[in-house]
Amino acid sequence: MSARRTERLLNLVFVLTNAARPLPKARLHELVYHDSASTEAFERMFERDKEELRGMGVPIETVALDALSDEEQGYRLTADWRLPEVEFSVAELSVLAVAATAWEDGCLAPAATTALRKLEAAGDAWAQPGLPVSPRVATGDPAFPVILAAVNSRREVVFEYRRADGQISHRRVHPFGLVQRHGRWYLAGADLERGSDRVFRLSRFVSAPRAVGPAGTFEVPADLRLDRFATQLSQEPATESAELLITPGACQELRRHATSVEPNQENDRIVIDFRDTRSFSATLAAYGAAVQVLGPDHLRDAVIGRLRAAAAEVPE
Amino acid sequence: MSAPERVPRLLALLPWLVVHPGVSVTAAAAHFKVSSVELISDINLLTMTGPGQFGGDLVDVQINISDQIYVQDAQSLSRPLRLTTDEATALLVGVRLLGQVPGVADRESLFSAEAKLTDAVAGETTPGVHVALTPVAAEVSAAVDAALAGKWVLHLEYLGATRDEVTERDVDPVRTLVLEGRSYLEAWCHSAAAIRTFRLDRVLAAEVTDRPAQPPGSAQSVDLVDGRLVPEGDLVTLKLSQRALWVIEQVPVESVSTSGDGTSLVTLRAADDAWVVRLALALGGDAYLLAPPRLVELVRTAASSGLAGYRS
Repeated sequence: MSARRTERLLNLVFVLTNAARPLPKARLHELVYHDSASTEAFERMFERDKEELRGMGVPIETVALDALSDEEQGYRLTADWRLPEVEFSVAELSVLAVAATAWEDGCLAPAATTALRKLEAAGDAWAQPGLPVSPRVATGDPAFPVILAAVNSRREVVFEYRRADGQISHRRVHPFGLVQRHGRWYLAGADLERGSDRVFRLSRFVSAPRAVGPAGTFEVPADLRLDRFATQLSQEPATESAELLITPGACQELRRHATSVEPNQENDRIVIDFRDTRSFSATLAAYGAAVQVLGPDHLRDAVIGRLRAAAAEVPE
Repeated sequence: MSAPERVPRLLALLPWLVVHPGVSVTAAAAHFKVSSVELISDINLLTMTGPGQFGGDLVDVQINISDQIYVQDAQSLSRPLRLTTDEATALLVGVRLLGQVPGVADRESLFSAEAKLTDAVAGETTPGVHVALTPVAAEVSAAVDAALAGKWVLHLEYLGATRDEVTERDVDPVRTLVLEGRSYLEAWCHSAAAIRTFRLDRVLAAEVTDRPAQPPGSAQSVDLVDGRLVPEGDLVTLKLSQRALWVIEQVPVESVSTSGDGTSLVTLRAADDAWVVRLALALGGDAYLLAPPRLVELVRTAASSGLAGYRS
């Protein structure tokens, strides 16, 4: 972009911020685009400039100039175009400066930088570097920017999705938000085919998601709490109880989660709750000889099955 | 310089200069991460803009002979524009992340920064992004904060991630890290005489001592690639059935090749023999370890001795 175009965009911002009432196109042509002779050339440039400024966060709105007819349109900035009166202390800005580094090179990194600049321009404090914390949130999932844009504009998204069991199906979703748990991103939203709220792991998207239809298609439920979605993802309640013999001094992770631990001859006998036999048998098999399952039988058989397979030759 | 970068910078530069009267060209350039020449060119461009028609009402910025910048007239841009949705999201999610990890000992400033930020985006709904870190015990968090802030040696009771054992050690804390949804403490470990990274959710107890911490200045930081901790070690080959495909999502793998029957061959770097054995036992029936032979043998031995307990 040329310096001239930069200058024109800034002039457009000044003219719009300075105007007492919405400005018709003809007036903008006169004030900012006086170099372009033809109306067609002006209109083309203005449309492009307007969209570009909106993309940068300059809130330009279109209003009818005449209450009785919407034939002539005027342009102005929304009433709240300025940052509200707010001033940050040195300590607060220093925290925000570290918060802004969380996105590293991801798609939110430029937004974090411009946000920080705006806040620093609201008062005379400076951020001090040196807080001993380095947060990083990876947003490298190819689906992330598309979903984030759809969340912000409240547009429907469509994609092909692979379930944990390998089945692939087409999904239409009203995206409420993006949640990260255990370092993995999930889309939380209303599944339009199944008629209920669901979460979808971004790494299981088979096709690139597409936003379809107009913006503002749906309302996010007023009582929606993304942090609760995150909690639901990991805290399905335990349904069964297992009895194990474990080697003293070993199986620290199991001891931490046991409901009871008591010495039993040369071993310790513990009781621990679990939910899923398949995944809990994997957890227990990992300990090898340090764990022996006393019950229930289906858990015991599952662990023996895993150990037998691991002890055997690779099947052809 | 493209407009998508330059226009927002200019829109922030003008109000920033207003609240920092007399700032030097060098300091302003450093703040906006541009060269002094670029900054002066930014200011020159600003002085050619304004709401005026044909040359009236322009921005007026002066640079005096001591290279100090004064804004005489900022026209209607003496305050910055409000935050966009993405901007508000980036900072709010970032600051809420810092609330979940030790490192900012001044918790009051952290909370007031979040509160002011929330006020500044009034009218916007809550951000559409939430990052939940694996929780760290409150006592552990407080001890790490105190040790970092006061530069004290920290005594840790630590449950190793790969070996099944609890160890006690003294460390000189350097900083905390957030990676892939977890919080870590990077510290100089006295017993290993090296920089080590400890998962904070595996710290069973942490106690601040009254001995001053002195991490060697030359200590090497953790090797980070794309935000992942990269282990060094043997290249391990696994054959995964469809039921074990989750491994690809959870473990940093070096390569994946999928065959027609739905199985995948993956290779990964193993930091630790014990870790490979545990993984292969856990995947029993769902995946097979193919190489290296030394580890294949270790896995068979471990599986056989596990089975022995059920024969008695």
